[in-house]
Amino acid sequence: MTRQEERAAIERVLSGDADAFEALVKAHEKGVYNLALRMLGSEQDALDASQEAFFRAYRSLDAFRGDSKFSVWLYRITGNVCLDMLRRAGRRPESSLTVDDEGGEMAVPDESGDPQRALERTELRAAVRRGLMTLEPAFRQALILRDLNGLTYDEIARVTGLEAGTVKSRIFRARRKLAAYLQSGGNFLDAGPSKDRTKEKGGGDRGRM
Amino acid sequence: MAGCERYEEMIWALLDGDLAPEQEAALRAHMDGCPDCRALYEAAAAAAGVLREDLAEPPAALAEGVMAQVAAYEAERGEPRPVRPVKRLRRWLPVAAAACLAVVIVGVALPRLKMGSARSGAAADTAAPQAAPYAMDEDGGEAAARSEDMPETVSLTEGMMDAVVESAEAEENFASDGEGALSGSAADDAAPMEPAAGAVGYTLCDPDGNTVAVISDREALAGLLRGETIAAGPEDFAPLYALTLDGTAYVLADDGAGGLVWWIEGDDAVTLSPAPLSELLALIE
Repeated sequence: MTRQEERAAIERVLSGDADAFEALVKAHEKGVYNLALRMLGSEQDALDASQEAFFRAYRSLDAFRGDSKFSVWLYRITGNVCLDMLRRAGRRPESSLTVDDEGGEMAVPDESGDPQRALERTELRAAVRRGLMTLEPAFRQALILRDLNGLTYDEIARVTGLEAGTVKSRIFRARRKLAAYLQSGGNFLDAGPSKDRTKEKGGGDRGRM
Repeated sequence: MAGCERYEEMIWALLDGDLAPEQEAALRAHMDGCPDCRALYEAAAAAAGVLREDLAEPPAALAEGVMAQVAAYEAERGEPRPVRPVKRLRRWLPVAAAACLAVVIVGVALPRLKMGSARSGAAADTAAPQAAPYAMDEDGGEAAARSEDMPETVSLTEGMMDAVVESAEAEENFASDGEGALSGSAADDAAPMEPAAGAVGYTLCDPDGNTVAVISDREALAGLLRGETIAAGPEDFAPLYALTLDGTAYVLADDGAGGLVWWIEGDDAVTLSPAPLSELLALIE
């Protein structure tokens, strides 16, 4: 969907064609869903958060000025929904907000012809997912917006309402912490046979996957 | 990694694709001899790669669910929307004069007012002759009665809202043309403030129209709205403020994490990041 098509769809929705919103959802659901998935760590919660974010966007669509990209505007709403859910979950320990392993997805190797590499890849993905959840939500949000959604620092600053410098330092801290998590090994290569490899390899190589 | 700090900065820049070639060469030369930096880079690069590539396909239920919600919402909206009383708001919300453009700030505003103005260096006691008890329509009596429960009620007048909006616009102008002076700013007629660059006066009034404080700039007001303490309250979010615009009551509370939570009467909370004022205005304009 080009930006013009997007603008046209928004105009149609605003002029009363609610069905036109579906094209906007379809165009942005991947970015929104994956942002929510990495923020919340669970597919069910990500689905709920994505739907809530799109619905909120629908209700306040007339507030979208077009100053920023529509995707950036959606990510801001999504981030807010996620932070909201996380905060509520924090206050109610019995909440369903838990990290699930997304087992089915993980089991699909994406490297052809090299089982060892596929396994490493799968382990790495799982470790990154777990590592992300060890970050503070606001730091996780900044990092995801940068590395998953591909926003610029300035765009992230607009999403979060922070200074660009603060955004940068948050992202750097988040990267450092996530890297340290991966390097720490214990949680990283906990999938069984590959544990031995960490002992054989020097610490400096542990991050290389 | 003592002594490696500058290389770490370069590692992040490299990950962002934002490192000059000669710097990249220097970094790579350093990493050849520094296992710590190399390991950091490799781990961080691996993580970034996963974030970029490990994307799930959204389930079909996502769009279906959204469109079902939209359809239900539109069906409901076809009829006149009733004003829904909300229990947790009723206790404290001095609601909703229908045509009221006043913005009412409720609650523990005063301590933060002082904080906000002190932060901005503004003289909080500079009186500004801004009018404005919040306007009342036929619901006003009830609203007033309810607001009696509140220890302090402060209203931001219509002029203030304009000031906020104009301030936001002025910032854009400032950014684009480099001129600090504002023309047509609400500061001109709302408050006798120094016309410093980007400065707008915000007059906070109590319900009787008495000036409580003048805040010199938007940042200070945003800081005020952010709040730094949470009012005591048994609810999920202790409400700090109510904004009433065009008869719709908006409720603001501290989210406890440096941001604001706000919701329209009867709706769920929406979390705003810090400095949300312009966003809020954009949504409620």
